[in-house]
Amino acid sequence: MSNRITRRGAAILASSVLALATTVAIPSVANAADPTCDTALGITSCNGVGSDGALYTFSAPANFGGTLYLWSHGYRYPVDLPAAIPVVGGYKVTSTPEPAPSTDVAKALLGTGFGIAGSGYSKQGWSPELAVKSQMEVVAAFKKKFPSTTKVIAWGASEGGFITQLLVDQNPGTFASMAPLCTVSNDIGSSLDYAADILWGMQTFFDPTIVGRGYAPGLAGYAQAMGDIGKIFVALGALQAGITVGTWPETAKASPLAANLIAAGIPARSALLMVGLIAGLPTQSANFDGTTGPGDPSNPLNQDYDRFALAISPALGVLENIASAAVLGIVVNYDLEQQMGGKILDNSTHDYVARVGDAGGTFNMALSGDAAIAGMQQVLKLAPKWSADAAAVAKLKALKSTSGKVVIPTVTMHSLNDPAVFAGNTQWLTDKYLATNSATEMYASFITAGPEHYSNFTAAGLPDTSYPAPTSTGHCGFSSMQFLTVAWMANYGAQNGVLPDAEITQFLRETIPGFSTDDMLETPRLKIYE
Amino acid sequence: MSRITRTPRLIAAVAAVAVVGLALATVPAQATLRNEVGVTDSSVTFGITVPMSGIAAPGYNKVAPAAQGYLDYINENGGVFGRKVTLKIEDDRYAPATAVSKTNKLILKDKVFGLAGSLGTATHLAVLKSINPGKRGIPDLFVSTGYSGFDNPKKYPTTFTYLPSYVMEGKIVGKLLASKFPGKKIAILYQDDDYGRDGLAGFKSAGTTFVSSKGYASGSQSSPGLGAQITAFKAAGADVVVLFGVSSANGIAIATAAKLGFAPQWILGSVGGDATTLKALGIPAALLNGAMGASFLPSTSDDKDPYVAKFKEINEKYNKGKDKTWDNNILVGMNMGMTLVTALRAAGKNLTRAGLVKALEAKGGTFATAGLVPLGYSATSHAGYTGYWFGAYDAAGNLVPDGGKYTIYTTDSGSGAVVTSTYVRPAMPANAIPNN
Repeated sequence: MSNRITRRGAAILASSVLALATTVAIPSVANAADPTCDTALGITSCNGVGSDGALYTFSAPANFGGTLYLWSHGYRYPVDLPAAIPVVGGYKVTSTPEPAPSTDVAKALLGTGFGIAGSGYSKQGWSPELAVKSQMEVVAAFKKKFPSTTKVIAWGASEGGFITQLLVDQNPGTFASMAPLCTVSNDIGSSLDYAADILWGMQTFFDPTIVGRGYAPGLAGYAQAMGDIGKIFVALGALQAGITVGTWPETAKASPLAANLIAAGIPARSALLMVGLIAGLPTQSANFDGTTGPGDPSNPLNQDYDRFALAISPALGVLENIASAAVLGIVVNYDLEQQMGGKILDNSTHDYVARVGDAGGTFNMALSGDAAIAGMQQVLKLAPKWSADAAAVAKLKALKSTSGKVVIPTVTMHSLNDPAVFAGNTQWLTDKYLATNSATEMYASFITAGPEHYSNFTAAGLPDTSYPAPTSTGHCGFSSMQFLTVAWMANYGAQNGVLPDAEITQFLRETIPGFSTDDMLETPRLKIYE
Repeated sequence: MSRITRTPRLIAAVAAVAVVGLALATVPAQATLRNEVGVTDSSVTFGITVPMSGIAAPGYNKVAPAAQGYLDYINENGGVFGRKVTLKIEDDRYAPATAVSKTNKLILKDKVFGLAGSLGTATHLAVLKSINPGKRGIPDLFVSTGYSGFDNPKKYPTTFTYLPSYVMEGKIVGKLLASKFPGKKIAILYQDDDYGRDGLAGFKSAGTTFVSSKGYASGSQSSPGLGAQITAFKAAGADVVVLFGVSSANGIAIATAAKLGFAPQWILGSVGGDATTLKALGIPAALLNGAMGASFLPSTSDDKDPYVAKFKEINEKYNKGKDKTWDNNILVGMNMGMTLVTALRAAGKNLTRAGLVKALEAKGGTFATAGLVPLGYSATSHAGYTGYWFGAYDAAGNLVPDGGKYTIYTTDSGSGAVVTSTYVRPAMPANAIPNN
């Protein structure tokens, strides 16, 4: 749920923070009504502190045209992460304000006469309502500094997309258009629904000692959660090492149900794919396209290409996606359990035969055939499910949800294979819009997708992640051009009250690299809605 | 975020957006109706995804070039209402995700009018789930798989199957087993997926009991092989073994049995029963001699059949595929091309996607094609051919009708009985050029 879980995201954060740190000193004494401002090279930048202590920043160029882009950043971990965790290890909680998705995008907007602004929020973790309050204070401060402001565009990514929707829902008349990107929609519960499938599936098949939910309060629970992250990475490491032969992690042998699958000769990679399919995880990931094998496919001596492509590649994509999503899923669950005071993950009513559906046919070879599928589904049926605490769920449901109403021009963008916030979140919004049968152009959706083939393998034929992942894959892994396309669309909507004609939107899909050109594309819906 | 300077990268990005903005002013206004892309007064384009390379390519890679060869023949003879018919062929390597991306390319980039002859159950399941041609109104014709689940007009309103379903095949072969091999011990090797599951449902419906029933996971036939299954059949004393697998699996099974000195009466399912493909996989014709199988098209060796004779002639002259050795795959492809042309004629001169679907529903059951069994198309059924005839492979590997004449059996994918059909195939139009 964060655009910070990828290396690219971390790089963006680092560059943004560096730019801020080298240019503007954040005031040590907060004054909500009076940010500190500085003007250089024609750009006025201000930094301030909101009424609840949230840091904020905004900038506008000398040729400011009256339109502000208000950026809502995504989920940031509310706890420090141990250094040993891959990719995000060593993270320290930060509340640095973020006025744009990247420095390049910020420069592009400022350079073309727009203002930019964003808060760092007073509290990290899942706290969208506090963020809404902070963001509205930023808008007020910006308008006070730049009274010529006429239009405000709300945009944001991941949890920031959710906050964007809440901002518009709760403040009618304030925003002229919005762009929730790689967004969480409806409520956080819809995303926790598939997080439960993934974590429970990993526990059931690969390591029964994974706690998964019901973390203790405070530091003890933090230790449990960090321990779970470690266990999942150990299991994933073993799965990756044995992916071609289907070796099971040693930890799986402690599970009597999984032991039956091992005894039956079902490859561990098939069980891993099954975990992905019950949750709705994409089989394509940031580095693996889910359909390529090692070596030259046209070489007749490369007999293993198709076996790898059909039987192994989908599991490889799921493996990387779980690695990307697991830290986030565990921390979000820990975060919300602490807030709600009890267990919130619940798969007690999930029908996993139905959830797999036709995918059992599509991925039959990778799942090792009907008999193996039946065996794995028997395990899913027999394994004890998780039930949430009613009081905690009631508190969770009482949190604000987004309406899905499109009352101002709205532009969405989502990676088809987002492993953390599934694209079904944006499809939910699209479905809501289409159900209104609006005659005007008020909604446009851009779906990004990687190239057809982008997996890399070592000379020995092993999966290779040393290459940079292509843009348009992963969670919020958008290019600057894609962000700017959305920004252009949102500005058009803000100025005109409607989005450009569908033909123009389609022209953009076909022109800007990385967009699916399919204007009728429906991404897989979240299992909870099926 | 102050003191930001303009970098070349930034300027390039802004310039690119500006260029897009300028270009937007020149977006052509020649809007075409969404449902009528891929057709002009002089052409109509279809697309097909098929394994032209990779694990499933042997045999299957001959179907699409054969269909295109037939269409080239039609085009040289004036096309369909003056339109040349083109079939864009995309190689999916039998991979579901690739089938989706290739089908996307056909629809979005090549802007085909419809899909025709796409091959494979897993691949097409993925296409229907991800792209949903029915929701887009795109004809999805003559899907080359016997998976019964695709005949579902409510769920897939524009999808029409082509091959008899595997359920039908199981029911009909079950009838053969009961009548020709009473009291014999029967075993079955099946692919452990939708294909095998459908077939087993058909055998169950026919009341067939197996002394040994063994599956293999798709793709596993070469490694670790099928030794365990064949050994089990031998140990069970099977007199008759049904091979309900793909060609490579059936070939490995026959070769393994030969090594083990096991020589049952083989019954080959239609999917893996093309003798040319089996021979290309290294199975000597002698091992096939006497094996039995089923088909819905005339025997490829039946030169008296007007369709076979004409298709052979067309194949020689028009097929530009790498391998145009005459076999059942070529026959299937040619006949698919002819069925497509017949459907286009049935839809009339003012061709629309909806009109083509309606024409198939209204008239598809009466089309003159090479099929010796009836087509099942109607408003409530999108099932293709609905039956089989039986035959035995001769020493040359040709499947010849049992008893010297075609006896047609028909049924459905449900609980309907297997009946000996009186169906008489419509006469071939002159020169195999549809005139409906």
